[in-house]
Amino acid sequence: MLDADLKPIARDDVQYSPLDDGAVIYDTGHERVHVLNSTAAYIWNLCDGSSTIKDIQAEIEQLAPASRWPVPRKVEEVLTYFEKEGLLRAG
Amino acid sequence: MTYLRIHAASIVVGEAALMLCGPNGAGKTTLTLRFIAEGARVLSDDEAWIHPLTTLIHPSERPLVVKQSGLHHFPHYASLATCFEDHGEIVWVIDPRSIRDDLRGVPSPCRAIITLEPGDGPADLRPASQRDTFKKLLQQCMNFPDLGPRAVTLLSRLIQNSVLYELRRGCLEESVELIKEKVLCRISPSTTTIT
Repeated sequence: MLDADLKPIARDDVQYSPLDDGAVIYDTGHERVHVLNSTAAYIWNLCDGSSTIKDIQAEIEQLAPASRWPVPRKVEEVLTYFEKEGLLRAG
Repeated sequence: MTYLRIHAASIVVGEAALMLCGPNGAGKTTLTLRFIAEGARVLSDDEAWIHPLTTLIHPSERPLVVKQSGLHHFPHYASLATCFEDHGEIVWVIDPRSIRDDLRGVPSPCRAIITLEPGDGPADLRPASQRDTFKKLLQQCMNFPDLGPRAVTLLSRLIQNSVLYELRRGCLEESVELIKEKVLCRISPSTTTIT
């Protein structure tokens, strides 16, 4: 479980290319491509070190207030994925 | 200059290129030959060469290589084809210039990408998402490591500038009619009646 007060920061050497329905990020260090859906792409763009995980969850929740989607858990899953894949750096 | 190479056929209709992307046996060459009969020009039947700066698709110098199973759709080309054995499989090689002097297209902007899926039912052509198309192009990318991040940018630009479809192959004529009706009219409206 991630600390909700952490402020995730995307690594600088990860290249971001937007698509209409998401984005592609290319990890130049590991030479790996990740194809993101639109929510994951949105979350990726919030990983700039200025927002805590709690902030990101709140922002995504605002975008889809009536969603039956468990936003906090999904945001955490996406961030955990980013972290496990080594796409984030220490703040 | 390193071109991005994608395992795809590409034809030119009007001034726009259409890329047909799929693995071996997906029907790239058969569809290419069928659209040649409709008046299209050809850039390649197997490898699309994408210019790394302009993203134009450039013509390949390779001849058309047709499998035995594909040639029976085009008996009129049989006299132009030379038979070879390739890894135990009979293939027929056709020099595009023997079909028409001006058959080889000039470098052209990609305006449509169709990913090909095998199928034995009725042909089905439906819009594809950018993410799915990206994944499929990536799978068919032949020299991704040579370009790395540049390849991602090029693939994204190709996708952003094209209409995207997925074709589940059925009967050849049905597939061709669907492509003419749904795709060619969007990328080159004045040339959809090329027959």
